[in-house]
Amino acid sequence: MYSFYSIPVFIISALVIPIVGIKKSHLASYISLIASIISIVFVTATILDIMENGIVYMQMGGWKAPFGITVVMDGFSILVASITTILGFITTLYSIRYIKEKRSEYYSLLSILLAGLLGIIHTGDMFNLFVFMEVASISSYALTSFKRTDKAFESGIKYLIIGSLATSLYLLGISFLYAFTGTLNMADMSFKLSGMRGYGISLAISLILTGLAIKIGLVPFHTWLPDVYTSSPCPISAIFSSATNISFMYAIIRLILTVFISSNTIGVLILFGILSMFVGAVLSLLQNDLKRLLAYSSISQIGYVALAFGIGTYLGTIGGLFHMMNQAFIKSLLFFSSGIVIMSMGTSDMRLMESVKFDPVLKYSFLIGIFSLAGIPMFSGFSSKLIIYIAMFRYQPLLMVFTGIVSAITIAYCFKSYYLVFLRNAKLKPDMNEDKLCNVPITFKIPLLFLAFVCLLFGILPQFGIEISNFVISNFNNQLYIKTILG
Amino acid sequence: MGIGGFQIVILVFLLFSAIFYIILKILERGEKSVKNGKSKVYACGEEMKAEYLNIPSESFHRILSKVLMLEKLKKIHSGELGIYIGWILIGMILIIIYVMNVW
Repeated sequence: MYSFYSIPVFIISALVIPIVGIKKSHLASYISLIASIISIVFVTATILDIMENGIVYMQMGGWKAPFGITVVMDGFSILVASITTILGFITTLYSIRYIKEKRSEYYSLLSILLAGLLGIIHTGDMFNLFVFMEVASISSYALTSFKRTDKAFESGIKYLIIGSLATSLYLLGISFLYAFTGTLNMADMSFKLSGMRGYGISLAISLILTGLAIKIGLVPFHTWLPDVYTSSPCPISAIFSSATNISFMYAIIRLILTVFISSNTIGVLILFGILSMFVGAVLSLLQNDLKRLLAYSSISQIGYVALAFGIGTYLGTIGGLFHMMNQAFIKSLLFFSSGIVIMSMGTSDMRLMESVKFDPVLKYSFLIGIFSLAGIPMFSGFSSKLIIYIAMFRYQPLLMVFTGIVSAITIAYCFKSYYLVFLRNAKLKPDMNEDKLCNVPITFKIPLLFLAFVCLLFGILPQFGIEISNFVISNFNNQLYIKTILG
Repeated sequence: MGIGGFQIVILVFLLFSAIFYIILKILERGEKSVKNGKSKVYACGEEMKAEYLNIPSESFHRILSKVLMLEKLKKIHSGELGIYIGWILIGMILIIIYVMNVW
């Protein structure tokens, strides 16, 4: 299983960067880029392996399950791993021009974050999941405070406290489950829990789900998220809203559909999905800060994913998975574009943004991101949202009406942001200041163009996204998972 | 909905976008004649001046916030850590109640 070796590659990169950075800090970004490229190659090799074999796994140290630590990959995990490594590469490329100081620290922390996220995706062990969650979280806290402003420190400390609470609840939950089942292996725990009932087990599962829901940022566990996304550097906000979000979403879905399969715990996502969709959309509408608007929008869109998975139907699961994929690319595109806009304007307050002539690549990339987020036909968000609407209609028509209302609010804040940033000053000051030309260098253009291309591809030819989701869902077999690992 | 359905929706969308664009251009000609003073606009029995015809989007959002009482939601997101943890506790209780019923 080659993709697992991406984790040590990133850890080695995290160790080498500070050492090399003592004399040559400009090499930090290139070391990180090389690590990302190697991880993409490893993940691609594992994709081919999974297409042939279905599920691939490895026992650490040669210890057989359930005693050793299991590393397992199937269609779902390799999809999330692919998106994480691609976005990791794009974020590293974007950061070359964006991060000008303390490069060694930044790229080292970014490598640790990516190692942690890939560990979450690969592991088949509950405690190992906790370890990698902590690895990812600790680097996230440091990256949140990277700018070293008062706001950044405050957000970092809040994130540290709430994040530590989340991982503590998760650890408490798995310790209870270990007491009841005597195992930490996910497959073995799934097998043993199927015959067990009791308030103790229910409490343990609740603590685990609470911990993960905090990490994802579902309402009402979302309160840390806008502060963190606003204070972090833009590439970090992009990776938080995309790779980090989908990795933790993967973790909660994996646990619910594999370990806690013997009961309808997935229904808990319906309530939090509905709350997240509505609260996130409404609060986005109220925002004047561009990054904060996108942060609340992330909460709303992850609510769509949670609701789609929560209804538990085949079409809902396809829609949820497709929307999860789309949102990773759309949010990255919007945060990257916002980063350039904020750098040029010197402010993230949309009311204070003044007249600047924008590079067409930036303007149209942001527009493609906004159209995708709003769910306009021909863009990726429309394809996944349409599947979710149909799934909602078949499950409960009132849910479809509610989803439609939230989508209308989404369109409102999407166009509000585009109007205030790009159109308002164009109308008020038709004679643009030619000296204030917002030039976009190539290391910014490549990520924007790639992400815009993906948004258009999944919009015009949604069959690619649907086929990928279909492949993942049709190969998601709990019995096969347990049989493959336990023998 | 089959895969072909997506392409049909896109084509319908493009068609309607083209129709609305043509309507917009026709209306803009009318707007220019109002600004030039060549035609007049009447609303509620009164003649409207050109500068009062556009509703600024910020006013629209402010009115929407007041009607939907959205400012109260803002108060819950005050930035205080104690309130944040309070919300987490409420969410945890909801999860415990749900899981106790289904497991």
